[in-house]
Amino acid sequence: MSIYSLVEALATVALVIVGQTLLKRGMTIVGPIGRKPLQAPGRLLLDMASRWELWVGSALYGFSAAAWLLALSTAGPRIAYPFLVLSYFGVALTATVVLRERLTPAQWLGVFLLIAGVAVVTLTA
Amino acid sequence: MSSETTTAGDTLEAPSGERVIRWVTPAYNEEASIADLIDRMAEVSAEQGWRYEIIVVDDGSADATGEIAGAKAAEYPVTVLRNEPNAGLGRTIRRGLRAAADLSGPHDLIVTLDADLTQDPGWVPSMLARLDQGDADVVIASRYRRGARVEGLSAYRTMLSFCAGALVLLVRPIDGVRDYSCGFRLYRASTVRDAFERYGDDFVSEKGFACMVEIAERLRGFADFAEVPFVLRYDAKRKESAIKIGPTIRAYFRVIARVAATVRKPVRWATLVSAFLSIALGAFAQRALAGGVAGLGSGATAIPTLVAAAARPEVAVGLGLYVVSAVLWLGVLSRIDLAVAYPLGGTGYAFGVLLAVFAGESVSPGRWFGFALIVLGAAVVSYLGVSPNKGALA
Repeated sequence: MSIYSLVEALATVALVIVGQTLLKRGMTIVGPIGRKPLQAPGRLLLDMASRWELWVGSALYGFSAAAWLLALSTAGPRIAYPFLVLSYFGVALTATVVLRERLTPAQWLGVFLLIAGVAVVTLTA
Repeated sequence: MSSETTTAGDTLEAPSGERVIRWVTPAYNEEASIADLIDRMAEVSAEQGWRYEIIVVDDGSADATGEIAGAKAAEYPVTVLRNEPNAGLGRTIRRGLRAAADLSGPHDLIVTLDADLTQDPGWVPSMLARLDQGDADVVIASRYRRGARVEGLSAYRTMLSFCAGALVLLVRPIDGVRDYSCGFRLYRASTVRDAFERYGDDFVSEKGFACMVEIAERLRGFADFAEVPFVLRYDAKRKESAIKIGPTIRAYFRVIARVAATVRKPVRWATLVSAFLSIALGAFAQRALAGGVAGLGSGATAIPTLVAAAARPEVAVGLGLYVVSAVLWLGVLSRIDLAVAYPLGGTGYAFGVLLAVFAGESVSPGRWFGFALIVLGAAVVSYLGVSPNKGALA
């Protein structure tokens, strides 16, 4: 694996973490989307459009997809996929630290099971 | 039905501003211990200069527990309530807590402790000192704090008990609590009263030993917990222990499941469906994109690679699906925690395995193993969460 594709893979992970955190933060401020907000879609769109977190988060989300494409094409899926696994842990950790969310120890165990499962599935593809 | 025998001792005229400490002890066939326990509660109270009252709830004892306790009313402010017939620890502690809460003023306190001398009243001053630091509503005398010990319990039972506690903590941690099941606790009476107002008799509905876990669970949303160490003296017991560890652990989990179901804000179906739809579309998008970039070479420079990729139809379809997936994702994020939602994205790979099966590809045992890990992990992440400690019941 070249330094080049390593940078792309790590950039993907970092973009995903920051992007998801911003999207969550923005949607928390906008509030839960349910029947009521959907009955006034104009208002909802306006609310969402006025959150810079959503704009920046979406842009980062797009960049992460581009970085992911590059990593896939240069390193190949067998090397790129394991890096994606890092993002699960990274996002969960960031959410608990920055957004003050809570995971029980059992849920952390669940996150690691998921990560192990994704690693096994992608490596045995 | 239960009949009530009340024996009032010294009348309590609570002067304004002075708090009263009410000792509540559930007793079942404790004639060997109850007199010494009452003496000890009175002794500690007198040493500390507390205004106090002792409430013994005799759970239909077949021995002289009730009579002995009643006779103590001549010396101390003792009240004896009697369940007839025996109703179990849960009902007994509930009756004692309710009686104490009904008698209490806004600043009064309630101590609960076992009647078998294993929990010495001499620890209550340190519990009170902890409560008076002001950041706790309930102080638990804990077996799992530095300086705590358990005397007279076999290593085997100590280990079982520890494992049961660890298991509970793994699934349902409460800030400040390590000893979830210990019944030796100091409560603000106002907290207990709030809990009765909120839950009624459901505050303590568990009949057996697991009622202590239930009380902690019920208070999770609106009380702050703290702990101080103490020495649990099984060697001071004067009769055989009645606790069966296996059924008790099962009861713990029954309580947790039941209370969690009433306390937790359920995830709506629409949210779950959106989440999995978003993840599945994302998985489709990735398949399309992976197909789209396959064979584009080792891309020495980024821009030409991206341009070449964008020209392929699979890539356009993949990106379109990504957008739909992202919009659904925003809806999901507006409703559930990111730390729960994002790892669930891993189920996309399990979905990919199913797609491969439907496409007629063979799936190796190793992949199925990974599939199982993902499904198990997703179930654990989605179901074993707790509502936030603060405001869960608001």
